[in-house]
Amino acid sequence: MISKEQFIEKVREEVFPQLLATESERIRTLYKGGVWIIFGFIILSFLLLLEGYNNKDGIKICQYSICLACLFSLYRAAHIWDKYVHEQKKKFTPSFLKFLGHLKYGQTDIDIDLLQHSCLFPPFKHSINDDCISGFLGKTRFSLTETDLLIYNLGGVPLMYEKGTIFRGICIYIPLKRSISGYTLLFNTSIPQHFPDLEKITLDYISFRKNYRVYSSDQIEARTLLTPSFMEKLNTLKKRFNNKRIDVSFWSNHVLFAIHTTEDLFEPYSLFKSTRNVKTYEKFYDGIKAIDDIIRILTINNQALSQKGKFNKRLYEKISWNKKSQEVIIDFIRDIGLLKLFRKRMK
Amino acid sequence: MIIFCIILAIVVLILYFSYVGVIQAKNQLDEALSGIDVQLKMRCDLIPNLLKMAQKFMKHETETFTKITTLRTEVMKQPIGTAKRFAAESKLQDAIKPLLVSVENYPQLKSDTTMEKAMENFAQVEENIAASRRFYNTALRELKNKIQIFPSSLFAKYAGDISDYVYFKASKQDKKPIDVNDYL
Repeated sequence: MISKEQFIEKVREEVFPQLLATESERIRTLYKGGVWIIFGFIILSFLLLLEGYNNKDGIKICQYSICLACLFSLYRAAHIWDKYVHEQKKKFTPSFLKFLGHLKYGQTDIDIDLLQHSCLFPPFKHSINDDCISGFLGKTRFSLTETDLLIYNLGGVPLMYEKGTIFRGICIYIPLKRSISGYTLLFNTSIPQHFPDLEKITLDYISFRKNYRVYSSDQIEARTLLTPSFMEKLNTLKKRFNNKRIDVSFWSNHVLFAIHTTEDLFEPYSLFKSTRNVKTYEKFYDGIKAIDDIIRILTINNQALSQKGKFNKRLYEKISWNKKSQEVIIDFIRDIGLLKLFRKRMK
Repeated sequence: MIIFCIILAIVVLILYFSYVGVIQAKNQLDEALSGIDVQLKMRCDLIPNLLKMAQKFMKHETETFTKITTLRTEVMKQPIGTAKRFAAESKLQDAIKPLLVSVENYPQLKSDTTMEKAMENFAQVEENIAASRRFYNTALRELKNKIQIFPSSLFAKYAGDISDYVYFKASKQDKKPIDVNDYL
């Protein structure tokens, strides 16, 4: 992969002219959204004004309408900005990616099945993907996506289900040439996890043991994968991602990294920063470079055995967060909620 | 009276879990030792295959093959898990290394697909041996911590005599600085 200086140089030569041409459009879009927000605040001030009057029905209707109008103006601002950023990302991100390898924007190998099979997350119903990048860094294929994983949870009111986000961050998937017989899960937390069908692995060094919890179906296999050099590199990568939590799962011939972050690490375009701001592009480069480092670690530590891995479905069903039990629990909680509501009404 | 019973119950529970911890640590140590043996056996089983393929091309290395075969026979004679077995395995490992390096001098052999796969399998097994040794060291450390620190130290005798268990160390041969000229 090219160096950061070479990357910035190429961006300046080839992409900057097109980016600078959009600068005025960016500022116009920013002002458009800003106008809607200011309009929303002005409407809000009327709401506060009306609050001083008597609590009559007419006033109430006005207040509700003002609330709706305020919300609409905020939504409109967000929609304008979001749409513009999305268009610009689609237009310019491929231009940045072509300097870094054979990479494509908008495509990913990461689907719901893969995320569920990794066993890094509790059962979830939906995933919302934002930026997707896939392709080859060197000879190794990888995919990444910024994703939100959602589950429907019981909210504060019985019978009403709220969406709950169980994971928000970046998932990086790398297919391995090596075959892994079981599961090895690494959680970047000091809180013990509950996997009764897996063994707890005590890592070699105290510093790792304090910050990571490892569970695996095979002690030897886990240690072959999580060598001290791999753990050191993982620590370095954490610093690259601002010390965000990184969980890793090895299974079959897959490895999935889940980085818990709300930051947009793979967006070379920002509405709120000037297109001349080089730091945005450096941040983008750092993100892709970190993935390149991960790939090089895995190639160093794992000899290239050209075996196709078999998915251990039996083990997966045993250790995955039991979907059925969770649905039963949700139904049970809902029933208790119904019971409380019934009792309240009886009183 | 009730408070006394509760305190007594807590103390009994602590002692019980300490005892369980010592037994579990000892069992894990035995498992780790057995794990090393499994990997060493796998390596031993790969050697005849490797030698057969190498003999076709490396006709002038008969001395090396003979030495390796003799050492392998010596290894198979020793009981599993004993210090003598580990010492014999260490000598065998030292004998195989130059053979694998000298494969580089025979391009025909190096490019043979079967030989390539055999070398890959061998490298994988070596990795597994290193991992199992690290597991053994970790298990031994955990057991030693338990029997030396109170309250688990009260149950040290249930772990048996662990003086024979030593941390795995590299041989003198491995610690010698490498001279690149030996291989060029």
